[in-house]
Amino acid sequence: MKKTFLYLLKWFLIFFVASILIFAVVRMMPSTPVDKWLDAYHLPHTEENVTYMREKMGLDTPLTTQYLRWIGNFVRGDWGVSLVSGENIRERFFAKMPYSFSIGIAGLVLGATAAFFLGYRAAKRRGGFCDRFTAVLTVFTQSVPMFILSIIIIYALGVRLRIAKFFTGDGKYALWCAVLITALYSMGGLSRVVREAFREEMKKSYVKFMVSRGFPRETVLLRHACKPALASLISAVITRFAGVFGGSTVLEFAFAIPGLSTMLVTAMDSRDYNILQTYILVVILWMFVVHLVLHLVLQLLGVRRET
Amino acid sequence: MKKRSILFLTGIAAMSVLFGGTFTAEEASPGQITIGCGYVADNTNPVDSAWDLTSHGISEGIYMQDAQGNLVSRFVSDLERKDDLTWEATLTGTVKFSDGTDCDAQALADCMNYLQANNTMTNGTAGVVTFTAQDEDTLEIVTERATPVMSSLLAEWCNIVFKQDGEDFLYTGPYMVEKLDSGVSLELVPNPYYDDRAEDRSNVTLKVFRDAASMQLAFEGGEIDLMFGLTPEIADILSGEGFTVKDYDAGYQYFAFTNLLSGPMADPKVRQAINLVLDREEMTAALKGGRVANGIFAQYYSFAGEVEEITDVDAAAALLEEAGYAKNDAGIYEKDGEALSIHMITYSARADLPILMQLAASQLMKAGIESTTDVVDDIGAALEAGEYDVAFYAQHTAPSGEPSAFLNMALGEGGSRNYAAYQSDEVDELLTKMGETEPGEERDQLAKDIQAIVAEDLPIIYLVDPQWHVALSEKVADYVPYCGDYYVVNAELGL
Repeated sequence: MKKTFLYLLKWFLIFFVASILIFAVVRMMPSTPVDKWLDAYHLPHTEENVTYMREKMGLDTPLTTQYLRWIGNFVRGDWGVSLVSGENIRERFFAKMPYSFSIGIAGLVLGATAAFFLGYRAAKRRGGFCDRFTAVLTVFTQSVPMFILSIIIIYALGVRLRIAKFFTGDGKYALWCAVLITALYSMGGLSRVVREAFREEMKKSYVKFMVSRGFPRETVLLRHACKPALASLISAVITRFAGVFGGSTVLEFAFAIPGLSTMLVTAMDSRDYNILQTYILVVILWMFVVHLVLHLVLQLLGVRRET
Repeated sequence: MKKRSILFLTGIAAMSVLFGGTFTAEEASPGQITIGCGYVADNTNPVDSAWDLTSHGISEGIYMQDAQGNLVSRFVSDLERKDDLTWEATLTGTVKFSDGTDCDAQALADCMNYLQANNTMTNGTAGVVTFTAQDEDTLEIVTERATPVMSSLLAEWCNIVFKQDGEDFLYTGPYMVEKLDSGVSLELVPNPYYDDRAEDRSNVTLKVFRDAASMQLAFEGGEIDLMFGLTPEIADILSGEGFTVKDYDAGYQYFAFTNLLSGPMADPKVRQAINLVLDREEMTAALKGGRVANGIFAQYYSFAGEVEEITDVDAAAALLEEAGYAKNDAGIYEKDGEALSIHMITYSARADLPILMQLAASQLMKAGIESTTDVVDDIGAALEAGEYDVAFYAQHTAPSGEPSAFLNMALGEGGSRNYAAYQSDEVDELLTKMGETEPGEERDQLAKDIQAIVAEDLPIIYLVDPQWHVALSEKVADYVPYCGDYYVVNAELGL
């Protein structure tokens, strides 16, 4: 009970300290949303124009007032409106979230599932096809930028063969490709994590003992030695879940997918304080959820872990 | 091995089922036109998105520019100045909103007065302007400050014609909004009440691309019909692949602000030398289009300058020697042991500018002048802070079809673009005279005289009167955009 209380208190403090830091850092960015707006329309930075836009964007009140208004509204579920477009940020966020989450979560889950079996086979037969394949895949995904692969796919399927339309229609081809590329890029590294975990277990006496007693090695590994490998995989996957927000920028740009990353970059361009602050705070909340899930899953697997 | 292959094939099959469908591309609607662009309006509010709505072909100003830079109006047949502050507009009576209702004098007065009250930017030229309907076809316009260019005031980007319909806004342009997905895409359908050619127009979708390479692939793959914002390299590639690529007058001008307050450019002889070193022909060649600038306005305007910019490295050398500079052993000009080094800045939003800046750096180096270059995040702040010797800049200098707004802004005392506090009694006198002169030859000549003085004093160095590139599919091969990005979708699209 005390542990849970301390755990929640830690996140509560992180949330509020982070909210102040986020607010301060965002305001310290060079040039303001007013400057950016006026520049975008080639309008002079006259006193009248700047005053008008500051008032219109609600930036004419003291910073403390602005902070308290923002955080107070956020806690009550009102994420405010975009300084530039006036759109409701929460609605916009939830409209774009399915794209980024599909790419991030589906890609990661698909990649992790494949990585488990590839890693298992790579561990079982050292120097075999899967071992070599995962090693090559790891090097490939570390050396070939995601953007280049995306452009090659679009060029091959969309321009040369013309069998998929990535930018018009309902956008399913773009989304599928983005998911598969995310899966591919997570598969290599994760499979090596699984391989190492299985190999560690294979050195342990209980595995050697069971195999020597005549149990099939596959059964021993998959039934009895898979928990540590799964725990390693889940730990590795969970840390990558942070990337669900903002991690798919390259793919969203390449396939013109209107996800959260695109929204973030646009907000950065226009210095839309409200969107930037809210985005970072939501990422913190997301990380809280991810850590909580990690905590619970690892407990279920019986792995001790320091909080 | 066999088991492994079966597993692999099963995996592939499972993926296909998971993601559904077969890999067959849908055919785009034959009548549909898709435009690739860098942005779409965030909303359809006339206060927030006036510029975007006109650029997308949804709204109109009372006056707008034609392809030759003349101000034309579908709304006003006659505009007469009654006294210093009062004007009378006689309406054509032929324009309708997209719901079929007439855009009469009262409707115009209502929307213009709304904008005057809710967007203070509409008060910039002549103070608060009051519009009153005298009768159905006559509109009285009373300004707070006198202006000789009422048609230009009515052509300013923020003065668009609209009618509020509950929560929505109705406009008069050739297209109306079917669906807006902010920052993603905008679907337009022809406005049936624009003219008698509405049935010939196609539905139009503006699709936002954040990456130029992806937009290029979308065009090459036949997914978009029009691609704006082509860099010279992409224009060259597409042209080489047999696609239709057109150059059109941007209206924007590429020029450079010089720092008159500090650094080497404060010396007029150094400014003149730098101006003579720059090879603008090489610049237009690098941009694969455009003309050597002859002033600060696009050359199709009647008030465009008549300055002849030349490159003369020898004359530049003589000027630098007069200014006390001499070449050192490394062939670099220096004075009192300090090398002549020009700090040049620009910004990335206009892709041509960094190209021009790098070209200028190489031209200066060839002439024995060192330079440093910087692409800054906030050009306005850098200019205001004076952190430059030469700043490459792009701006549409006559968006409302008249020259005095930009000239006052860039050269007048306290002007918002007069970053280096340029002051010339002669220019001030001409600007004052311009503010009192009706549009016509005399006013055009005043603008030309000012541009000639600027070419001598060089608070601004004229560079390139650019042409931009647009790639077009066969469906829209005849389309001719104009006025830069002000009217991306105009009434002639697809006709």
